Amino acid sequence: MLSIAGINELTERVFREESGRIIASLIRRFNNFDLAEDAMQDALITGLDRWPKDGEPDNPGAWITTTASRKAIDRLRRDKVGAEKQEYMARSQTRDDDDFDKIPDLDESAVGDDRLRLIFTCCHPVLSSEAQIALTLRTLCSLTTPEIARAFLIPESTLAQRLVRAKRKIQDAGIPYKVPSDDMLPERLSADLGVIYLIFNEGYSATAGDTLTRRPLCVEAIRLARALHELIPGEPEVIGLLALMLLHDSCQDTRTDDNGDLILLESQDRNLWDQTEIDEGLALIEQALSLRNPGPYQIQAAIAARHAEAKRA
Amino acid sequence: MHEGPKIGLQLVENLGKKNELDAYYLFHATKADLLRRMGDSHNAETSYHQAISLSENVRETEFLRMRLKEVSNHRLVH
Repeated sequence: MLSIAGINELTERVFREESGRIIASLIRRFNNFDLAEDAMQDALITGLDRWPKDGEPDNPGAWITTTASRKAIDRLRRDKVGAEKQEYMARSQTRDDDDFDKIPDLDESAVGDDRLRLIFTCCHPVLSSEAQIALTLRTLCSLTTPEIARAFLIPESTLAQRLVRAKRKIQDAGIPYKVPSDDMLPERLSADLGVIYLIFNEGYSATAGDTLTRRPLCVEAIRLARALHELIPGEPEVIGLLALMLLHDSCQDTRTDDNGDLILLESQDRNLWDQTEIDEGLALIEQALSLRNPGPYQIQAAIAARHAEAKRA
Repeated sequence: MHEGPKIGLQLVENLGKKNELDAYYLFHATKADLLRRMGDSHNAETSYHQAISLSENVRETEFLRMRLKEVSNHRLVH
């Protein structure tokens, strides 16, 4: 039997840590951002109602995904144009699978990742860069509208409108939910990298709340950068960004004390820095710089590398 | 820190010339820290107040309040 507080905490955790993955798989299945968000909300509410009686499921994230899929189908059935949408959904699913087979020489785990597809959709050139970033943070990283508005230093209402317009544009333009083809890949990257770094920054230094960091966002950003690196190896700025984030992440555990209070760089215990992450970051930035095509992420990573190697601030 | 806080403050103030960073708490927090290191407690206090009013992270606000208290005490003593 779970207490109400326990249930709230569990739901909060599932939402924070897994909603990006859940939303991404729902969007792939239903090809509709709003439907995916609504269905996940429905499933979370159902969880709040059922879990106190039935107990915590073995895998709450999977439970929410399955429940949300059912809720989405219910919504489609209820919808007057449900039949039409289901037909469209079935069509786009087939098309997507066809395209999937055509992508050559790509790592299965990377291409098969719903979140990676979603990042390319959210960062599609038909959207402004502000809309790209806002949409990715909202859908993949489950930041709330007020949180994103603060990160952009703009009013909440402006951001809300931006999100609505962006989603409508994706729907209207029929933007496919997939990783772009090889020839399109390089030019689509720059927006992706910007978005991934913003996600990392929100995790490294949370905009609001009572914790300094939101570590799952950092983990998420590093994971996305790794997936991109696997998908297109040898891209200097991708390697640079991955190195930069690993080097910053290596000192995460020493940035706060046991009470969660902030410890400045000059007072941090460098023995506690994550040497595995530092080694990987240093090797990556060396590899990136040897390609002799520097960019902003590589330069920042090179600076971070000097800090990581130094004995003191 | 290589060339001292005064050079740092000039660089930071240059970045803020177009007022684009007025609502960015770290801009004020950075200024406050450099002013504190220069021993300009009076102006450091003003910048800490601005940073605190713009920051919404509890841990960061707590840290900034602690620093504000330090510079205020310093100003009262001297």
